[in-house]
Amino acid sequence: MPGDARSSKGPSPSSPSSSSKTVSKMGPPPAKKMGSLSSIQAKLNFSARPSTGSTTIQTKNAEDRKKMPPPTLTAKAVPVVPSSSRAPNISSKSAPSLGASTKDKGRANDNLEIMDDEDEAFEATIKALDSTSGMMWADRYAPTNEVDLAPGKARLKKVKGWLHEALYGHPPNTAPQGESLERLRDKVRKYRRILLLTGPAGAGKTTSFRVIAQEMGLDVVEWNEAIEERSLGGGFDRESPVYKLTSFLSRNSFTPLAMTQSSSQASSSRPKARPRILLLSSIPNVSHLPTKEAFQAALLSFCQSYTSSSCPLVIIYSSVGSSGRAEESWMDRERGSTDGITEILGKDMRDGPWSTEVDFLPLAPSFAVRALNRILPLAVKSPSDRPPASALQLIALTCNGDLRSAVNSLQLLCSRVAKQDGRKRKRDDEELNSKSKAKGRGSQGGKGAKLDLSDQLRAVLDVVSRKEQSLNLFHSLGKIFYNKRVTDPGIEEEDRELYSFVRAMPEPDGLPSHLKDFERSRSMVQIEAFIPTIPVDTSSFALWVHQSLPAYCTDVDQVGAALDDLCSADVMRTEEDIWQSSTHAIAYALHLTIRGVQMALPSPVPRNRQKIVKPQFFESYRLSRINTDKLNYGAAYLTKKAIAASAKLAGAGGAPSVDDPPWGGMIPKDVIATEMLPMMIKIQSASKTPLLPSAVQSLAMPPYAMLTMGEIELRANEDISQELSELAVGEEESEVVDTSVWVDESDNAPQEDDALAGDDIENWD
Amino acid sequence: MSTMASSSKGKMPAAPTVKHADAEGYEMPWVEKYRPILLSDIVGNSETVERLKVIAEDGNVPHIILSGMPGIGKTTSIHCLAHALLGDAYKEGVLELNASDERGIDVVRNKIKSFAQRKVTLPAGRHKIIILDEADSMTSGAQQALRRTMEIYSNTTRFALACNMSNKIIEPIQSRCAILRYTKLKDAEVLKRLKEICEMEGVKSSDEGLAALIFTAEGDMRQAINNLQSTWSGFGFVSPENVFKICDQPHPLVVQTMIKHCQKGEIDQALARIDALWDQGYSAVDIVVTVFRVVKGMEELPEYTKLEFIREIGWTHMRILEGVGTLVQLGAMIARLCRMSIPPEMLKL
Repeated sequence: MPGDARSSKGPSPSSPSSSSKTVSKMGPPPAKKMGSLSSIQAKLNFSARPSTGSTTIQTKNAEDRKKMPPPTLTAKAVPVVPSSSRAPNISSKSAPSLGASTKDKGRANDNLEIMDDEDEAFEATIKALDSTSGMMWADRYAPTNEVDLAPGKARLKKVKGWLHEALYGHPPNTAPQGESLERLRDKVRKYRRILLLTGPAGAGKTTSFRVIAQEMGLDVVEWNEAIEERSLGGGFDRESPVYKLTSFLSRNSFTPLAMTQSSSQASSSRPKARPRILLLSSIPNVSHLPTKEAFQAALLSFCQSYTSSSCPLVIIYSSVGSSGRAEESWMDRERGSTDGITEILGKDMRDGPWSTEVDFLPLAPSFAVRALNRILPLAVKSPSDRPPASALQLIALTCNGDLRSAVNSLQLLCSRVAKQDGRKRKRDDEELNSKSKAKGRGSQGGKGAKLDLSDQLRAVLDVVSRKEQSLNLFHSLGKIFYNKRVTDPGIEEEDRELYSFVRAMPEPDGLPSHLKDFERSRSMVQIEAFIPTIPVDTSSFALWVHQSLPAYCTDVDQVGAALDDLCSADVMRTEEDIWQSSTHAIAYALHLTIRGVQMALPSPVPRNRQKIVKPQFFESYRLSRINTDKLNYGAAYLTKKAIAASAKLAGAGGAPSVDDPPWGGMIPKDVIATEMLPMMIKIQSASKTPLLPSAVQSLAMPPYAMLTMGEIELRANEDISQELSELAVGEEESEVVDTSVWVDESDNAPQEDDALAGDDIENWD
Repeated sequence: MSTMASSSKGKMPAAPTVKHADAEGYEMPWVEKYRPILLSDIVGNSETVERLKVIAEDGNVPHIILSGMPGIGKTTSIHCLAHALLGDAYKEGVLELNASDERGIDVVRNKIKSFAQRKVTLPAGRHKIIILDEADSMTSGAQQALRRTMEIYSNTTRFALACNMSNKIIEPIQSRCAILRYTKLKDAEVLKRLKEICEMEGVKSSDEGLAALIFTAEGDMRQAINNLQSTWSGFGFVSPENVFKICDQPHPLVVQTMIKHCQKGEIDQALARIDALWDQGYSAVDIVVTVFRVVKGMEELPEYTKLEFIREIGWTHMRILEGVGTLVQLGAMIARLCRMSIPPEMLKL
């Protein structure tokens, strides 16, 4: 299967007739199973697998595969690995179909012309795919070549570059020069031990890595937490997972052969044995302290035990907090239910020279649309069954940068569209009509308003993809901020039904005379009905309200009054356990938030194109945590320094040498933050000698400052040639530019009403 | 409805006068007895259930998360879905793990995996289903382990997670699932169901009695049915008095009159009511919870009064939870509520 998948990119297409030829040329896939001890006996297993031939065999194979779950291995080597669990024929077969899809979009590709006259191959693909209809689309139509990957190009390039450096010792596309190369290679590779791919769920980390690894022709050896192996003799029943991981790392960190002899020709001609990469996509239970320590120790020893034949490790970790998704409860995060990658790997590891982190950002809507557009023709054959383009855009908008969930929504939507026969459609129509009426959408400014999308479809989508959606969130917030009341001018035009309903309710009792200031006409918001429609938890909702509130007030007193109530709501919802666990606390807080803000807002609220803004809290909170970490690190560093210096002093018994004066000591954190670090950074950027560990430096410097971590590291060691360091700087710079673009996009997406204006969608080409 | 009852138990109450105790002396909880089997029998959340029906027709289930408050039909829906999908193979094809089951990382690793690997003959295109009830009580470590398992076995096995708060589920899992939110049941929906059960069980009830059940249940169907059954077997008639005796809650009418006194500033009458409730033996928490519920629902309170009342009640509730569940606190709450309506000049010395 792997050889076949690659062949689709190669000169000969993977049509049934020619694929066998390709395979025979490539030889049997070099797959092997890393059993507990021997890797030889397992080889037999895999070589027995029919290398791709006619479709019939494949389909059968797929069915077998479906009934029989994949074998669990402690570790398995899957050569070209699209996904270790995927049925073998899919990866191979979806490759040509991808070609077909790109053809639809008019993008020329190498394998295109071949596909053009091989329609039957496409048919076969479809058939083969049909046999796997049990799979989720996200797995089934995962991209298999780099062009189709959703994340930004710069990130992919960075991953690729790292892998190349880690394996061959120099960046791709730079020709190795001279005899210094060999020396240089080990120097570089020594510090390219661990690659961290982090980012929110569904940003395409795993898929990107697998595709890149496939294109580079790497062996990926993945660590799996397997079922407990019951040993036959009954000697030792259980190995702890960490122990297994440790032995996995030490066992597999060396490529058995080949790598050592592939010297300077590494880039020009591919070595016979494929380079190997270790992959760690599930991390042991690090909330258990001994496990965590053992895990970190294992990684450390993995890093330190570098020899020229050892292979690098890639860790994929879904960071939970950084997506800024509205519903995430920051209280939970604070309590440490979800650890950041720093805590998991340990600071030494993360800040050490061995590891590099590539942070994937949530996908911008335009990228998600592009990915959905790629999948749709593959999944739904007849164009009439496909949902309209606007539906895709809406899905992309509401998926919060999570491509996997967007694909899931699409699948659900399509199954719904496909199943609708006349009778059902009618019923749906009724249901939808009543629904849109009941909802009484008065959201002229809403994000969706810019879309050319029928109300019906929107309602279907609402049902299909009702995640904690930003769309609903804006709707709820708008309801509060517009503070509509029955006496507003023109209110009865907007929603007659609701208006007459509110009108018909009994007039509440009047207020005593001294409270007449607080008399309000009846609100159009029916709080008991409104509360269940709020799509986020109470604390996040209060955050959003808090952030955007002032724009809707006309007087500072109004803001003050509303903030008083937000304060009380906040106190009601303290994180103490007795109180937090009770649903009453949440109810009080919600009522106070909503009612308090409505009472305080002017009536009617003047409309001058106010915008609802994303709370700054998420970003500030993240930054403050990072900074605290760095400060602690800096303080620890200085302390260590002082201890070392005084120990030296005691040992030498003499005066300190001039070029290495003792410094450091126990310094309070605020002094470090306000005086020590800024000064030290100034000194070191003037003197060009590093005084501080690189991790701390960004604390006092803007991220775009000259002195990057890589440079310091290189200068400090002074053993890597100038070109390389320049190259490193170049990379950093390009990455910085790229980041700013991305941050803009992802930041604006949830808040900007015009995020979906046409140009945004079009510029993906 | 009746189709459901016959299909589930095949037992309609032949004699309407069958009293609570069955001949065997044992009676199933009505919650179980009348648990729907078909998706179309599920009460409330019609949109979500509609979505589940589509999934059931299509056969290709995504992983799903059902989130919502207790007693609104989450677990029931999953079971109905599993029935619809698997038919006769339901028994072999479904693994249910509850929070009460041991469900640490080891279970995720071993029990779930071995189930996922087991070969079961299912209708074509269908998957085994693993139901994890109360998934939000799983540790994040166990959830991490689950994430990987979900990925590996997604060809053969689908996961359905029921939870009260979907944000307690780690994001990588959320990303892999379709999230279905369940809202609280509307009073009318609960009422309809209660009436059906009353009819089938031959329960004698008054309309006010059913209304009282709904008030105490607050959209929780399970609680409503349980209370109905206990009231019926305890007193033989469902009237408000009996319901509040069974549920051991202060009578909301008493509380409502008390609030009205507060609104008018009649502190003496209001305090008398609180004293009466206290003397009946209700705890401070019971009383303050009922007061909050009543205030929330009182249409005649002006917006401002409602806001201020809720705030004061909240403060009091907080103090009570902190341990000072005394009559003094309740009295102070009443006093503060009353003061709001008394003109400030009257309070000057």
